[in-house]
Amino acid sequence: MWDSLNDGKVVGTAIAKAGDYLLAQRSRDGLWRDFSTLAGASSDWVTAYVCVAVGGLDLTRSAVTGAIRRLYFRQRPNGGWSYNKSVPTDCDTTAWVLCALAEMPMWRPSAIERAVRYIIRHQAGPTKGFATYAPSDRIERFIGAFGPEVTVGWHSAHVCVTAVALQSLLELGASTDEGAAAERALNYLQACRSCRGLWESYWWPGEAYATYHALKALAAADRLRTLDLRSTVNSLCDNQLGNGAWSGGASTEPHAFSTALNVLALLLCEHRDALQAAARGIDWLIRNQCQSGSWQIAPILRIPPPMVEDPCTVDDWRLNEIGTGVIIEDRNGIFTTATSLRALTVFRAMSV
Amino acid sequence: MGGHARHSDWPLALLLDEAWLRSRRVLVQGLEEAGLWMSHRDYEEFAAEQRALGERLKREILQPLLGNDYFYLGSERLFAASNRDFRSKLPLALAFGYELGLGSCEIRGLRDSAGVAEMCAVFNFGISVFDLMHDQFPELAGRFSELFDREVLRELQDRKGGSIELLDQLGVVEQAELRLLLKIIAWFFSRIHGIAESDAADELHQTLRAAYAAEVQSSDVITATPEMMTISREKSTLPFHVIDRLARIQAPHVGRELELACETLMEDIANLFWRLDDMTDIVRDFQHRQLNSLLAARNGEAAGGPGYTYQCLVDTLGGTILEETAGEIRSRAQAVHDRLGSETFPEPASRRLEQIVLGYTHGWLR
Repeated sequence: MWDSLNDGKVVGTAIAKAGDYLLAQRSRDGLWRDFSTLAGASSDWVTAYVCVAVGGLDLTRSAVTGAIRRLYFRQRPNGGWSYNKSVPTDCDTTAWVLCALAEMPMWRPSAIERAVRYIIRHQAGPTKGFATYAPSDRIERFIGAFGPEVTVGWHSAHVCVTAVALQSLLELGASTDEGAAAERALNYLQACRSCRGLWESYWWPGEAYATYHALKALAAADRLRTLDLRSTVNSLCDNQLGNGAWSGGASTEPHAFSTALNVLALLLCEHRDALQAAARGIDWLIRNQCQSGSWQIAPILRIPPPMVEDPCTVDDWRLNEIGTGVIIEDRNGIFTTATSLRALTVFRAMSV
Repeated sequence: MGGHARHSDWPLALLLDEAWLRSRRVLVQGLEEAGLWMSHRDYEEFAAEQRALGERLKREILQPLLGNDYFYLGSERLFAASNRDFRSKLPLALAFGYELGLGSCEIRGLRDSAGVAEMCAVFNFGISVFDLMHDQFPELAGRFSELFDREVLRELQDRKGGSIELLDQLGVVEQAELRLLLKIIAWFFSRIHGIAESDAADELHQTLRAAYAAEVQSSDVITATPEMMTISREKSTLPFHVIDRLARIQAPHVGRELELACETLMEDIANLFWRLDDMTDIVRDFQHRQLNSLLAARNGEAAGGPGYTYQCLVDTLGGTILEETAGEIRSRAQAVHDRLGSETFPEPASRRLEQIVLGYTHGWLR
């Protein structure tokens, strides 16, 4: 399988089609927008995610440069960025924007330094993981909640946020303060690894998103070298469906978002079994790419009620509805396509 | 970030913005005035062409060279937090070495020099891996020094079988980064033995030893002693001279005058990129405590201390060192332009080499 995909042409064609799809999905202002929530669609967060996912591709280079320039000007006075223009800043969006800024020359070192300080203010509680919101973001005021207990879930440390915050700090943070903060968060991340070698997420149903990004953060800190990855590889391979894809989260059907993230996690493991399984996942992605260059979407983003600290305690999740307690699709297919494109690109780069 | 010599409400971050912007502004405007600045549109075309060349070299040279380890080049794990930077610069490191090697051969009137150009590509890539390891991964560099040191270098230079013995050690090397670098070194020296048995080869070997010594000595030093400034210069400039020497070996019958002109030209190119490196990396070097001649010149009082200080940056920006360095870079670029425009060098090779120098000068500033 690995060999049959290795002439590069098939993968290259799929990458080009996905790139074209993403280019066509940009709004007039050059940003990408997706997900439909009470707060509207996301702009800054989705744009940063896409910029990181497609970074380095010739096809999208100019679009990414333009989008990153715009993101620079959308930084808020507190150093953070937000889901969209009307929502308070948050740590996850800021971390994604920082990762996107790393794709380009460091035009304004002060913007990066302020963003790094903003992220560090989100290191929460005794765990020292990173929370989506800090009290200073005042998310409770935005959603009309009374009292901090109503938003305790959104103020708690989460693996999915910590992993991306760490990637941004490790790549762009420079001072010893940031080094110490990262060290504590890395310990939190390692402590959250399940006995199956995987990680659970707060904002994403299933384990794929948190597992890939936790592995990536640990790789950025050079900690994968000393981690026994056999249980991770075994679990990822066990979860793979017979057709090469992965399901996960709200859907028992195979879907591209989960498949791409599992492929990326396997590629980070660099084991022989992992690479073969990743190749089967890539084969599925190629076979299931739509004519438009995108992939079939699925409910992938989970919005727990703000007081919920552990999403496992919620029994009923509503699909594709507005509000909280819901799991929603990326209805423009941008998140799914960007993630699949990333998996294809990394796979191609590792192919001999 | 070191102690503050005196209190100021002016944030360090804004000083860094000023350093970033001013260093680039004075450089770009100076080169524009001299007609030595490649336009944005031309640069975009140039960069795309160079990235394509680099990707081709990666496939055609590094794939057979690295064998089973080739796939690590695409891994998101390699070189940890520097992974993205490493992967994005890889093709350009190969292409820059290739173009300099090819240009150095062609201005000597040589044709069919792709073999030497490929050696220069791999050499330049190897140097960038070596730099990265020694600047940012002290543990890896420490392990590397157990496998490769002055004596091993000497062995590789003196004995044809040295490369095979170096490769024999790879079985016990766990880290992919080390295996990549050792394979590159072994390949490079096996190629050298295929082409070099002359006085010019002795010069090449001497330059390689000096370049290695400067690389090792420059690690983790930011003091401003004259000795360290020399090391900083040698670390950056000697790799260019290695490329020049490789071309020279291929052209033993070139006249003394042309040979001297080639050497002087490479001296200008090497110094241009040395100063350019320090100028464009001033913010990053400040943040990461890397040796930078512009900062070190103002950091005398902190010699041997914990790092560059706020005051050191204030002093650097308060003086004219950025303008002076930009002037020096402009003079070197002008010298390259004048020399390559003279009748000493054949066209179109000379014009092509000038475009390479100007294109990469533009790229360094991005």
